[in-house]
Amino acid sequence: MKNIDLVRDVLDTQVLDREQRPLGKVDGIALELREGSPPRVAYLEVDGVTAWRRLGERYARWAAKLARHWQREGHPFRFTWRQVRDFGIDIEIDVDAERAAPFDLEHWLREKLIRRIPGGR
Amino acid sequence: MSRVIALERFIGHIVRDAEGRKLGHLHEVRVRRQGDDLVVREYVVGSAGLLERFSLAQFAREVVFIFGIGRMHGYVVPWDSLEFPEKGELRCTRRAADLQRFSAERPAGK
Amino acid sequence: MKKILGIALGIVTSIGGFLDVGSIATSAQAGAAFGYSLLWAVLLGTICVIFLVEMSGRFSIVSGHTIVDAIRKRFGFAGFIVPFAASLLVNLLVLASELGGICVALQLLTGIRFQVWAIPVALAVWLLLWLGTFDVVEDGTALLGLVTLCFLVAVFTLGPEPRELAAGFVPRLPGEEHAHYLFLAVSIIGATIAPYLFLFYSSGAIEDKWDKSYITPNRYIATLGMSFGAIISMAVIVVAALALKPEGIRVEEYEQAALMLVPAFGRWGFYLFVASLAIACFGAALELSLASAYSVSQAFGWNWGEDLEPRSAARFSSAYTIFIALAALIVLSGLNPMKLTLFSMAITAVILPLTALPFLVLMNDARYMGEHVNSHFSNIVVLLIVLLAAILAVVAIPLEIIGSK
Repeated sequence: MKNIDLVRDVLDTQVLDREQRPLGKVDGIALELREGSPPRVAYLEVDGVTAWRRLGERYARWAAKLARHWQREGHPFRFTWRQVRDFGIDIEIDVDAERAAPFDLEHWLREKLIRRIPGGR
Repeated sequence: MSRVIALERFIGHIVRDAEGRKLGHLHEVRVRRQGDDLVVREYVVGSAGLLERFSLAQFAREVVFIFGIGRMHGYVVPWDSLEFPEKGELRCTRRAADLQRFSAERPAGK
Repeated sequence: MKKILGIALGIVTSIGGFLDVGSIATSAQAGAAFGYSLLWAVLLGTICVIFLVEMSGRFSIVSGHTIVDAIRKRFGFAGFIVPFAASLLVNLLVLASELGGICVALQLLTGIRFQVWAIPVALAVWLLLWLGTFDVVEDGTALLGLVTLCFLVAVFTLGPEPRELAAGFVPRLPGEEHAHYLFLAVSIIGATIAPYLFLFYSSGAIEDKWDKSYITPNRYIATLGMSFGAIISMAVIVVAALALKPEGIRVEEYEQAALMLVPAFGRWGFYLFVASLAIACFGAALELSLASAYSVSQAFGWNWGEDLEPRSAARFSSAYTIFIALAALIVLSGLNPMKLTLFSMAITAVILPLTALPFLVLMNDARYMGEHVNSHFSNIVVLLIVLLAAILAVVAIPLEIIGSK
């Protein structure tokens, strides 16, 4: 497919890692505006704060304050089109979800869950 | 000189033409592959505004489309004719009359 | 052969899972107050839910998406966030009602006040999700839910007059108490349609990896499963009409409803009612908690799935944990369980268009459905019933609030 509709087919689409595990959604698309050349897609973002910012700056601030509890480095998570391995219903990228920034919340909750509750394995 | 913008924040925003007339809302950004890159070919500016925020009226309108009532109108703006100013509304550098129009029975989606 | 077994299991789980606190409470009140004359409301709601459930299965099969995932993708984060938040809020109220139902059943059995049971019951629901798998949760509670067939047995025992029964399927305002009648009609429709039902069904289709060969089985499961389930709901109305109305017993509390199986079964009737209430609510509570966790996970693109151990899906598991905890708090607050149930059902009817309309748009989008887009007939049926329910609800709720002051 030569042409792609960014809003219809890329924005808010599920992102999977190289093992087909869910990584998150495409929450943002960065466009590089260039003089004399058509704009290009600089990178895509998977980040909760980015998504909330689409509703307004106020929501983004609130989300960021909350996210500070579990976010380590690497936020917002970004990837380029070069890293995309497959593009259809979902977008599959050449990344390991467990090591990627969007999983910080997952790791943080595992810490709190495993430590406190039996049976969570 | 290049600038990076957060495209998702402009979806659904109003676009005006060179004479200041309202063209519609930014609906779609069509890109093509160029090596490993994606470059913009054109923008689709349509008549509906669901994309920016929740709108019950827009859901209702889409439902009505299903029954074939009403059409979506809009313009196709080439990549070199849309400006993203630091402040203010999106501006098309051409006049509405000089743009390619489209009319669809069903919305292009989003 | 495997498909036939699959269809049979699907139907059975639908029957066992159909009745919940909403259906029991609204049907009991309806039968006791208005006899058979609200049977049409169950029928209307059931027709709508059959279409919605079939569409939900077909959608997941053909598009490979769950509904929530697709609604966000199709309408964007900003477009979907309000319906999403509203449906979560309603889910919470309904979950609190279901937990309340189990607690009331225990109160009926032991005499100990329902609030005391809030935490143990919530813990039991949570534990089953924490340690169990999708199949155990689904099949186990649905099979137990077959105890609700006792209402059907009671109908045959009590022997209603067929022509009087038939008249109940024609909508007609009663001589008096118009506001309450309308409110109950709306609550019954809300209880029958229950958005979490078809959203959960779509996740289930993905979990069970349904492919295109399931398109026809899906139709059978949806139609037969929901129909048989509806018959049990109607049975509750009929039993209440025969057992409670002649005695002038109005169902203001669950205590009164609990008497309705006594004429048919004697002393055992009371225990059958308590068991039906507890089991039906328990199954619904599990499904609701999962459905809410599915919604949140699919909306934000997290890994989800009941078969995953909590450790592998920490966000998903935390979501249902928080949900159950909040619902338990609502029960603890001591709000009248019967009133909470009826109002959550009515509010469900109000919120219905917010979930059903975007879904309808998806069902007609060829990019998701290919050649399996909806027929005009399906669109019209769903649209009419959903709008009717919402409009009635907006009218009926204020009237009911004024009326009960």
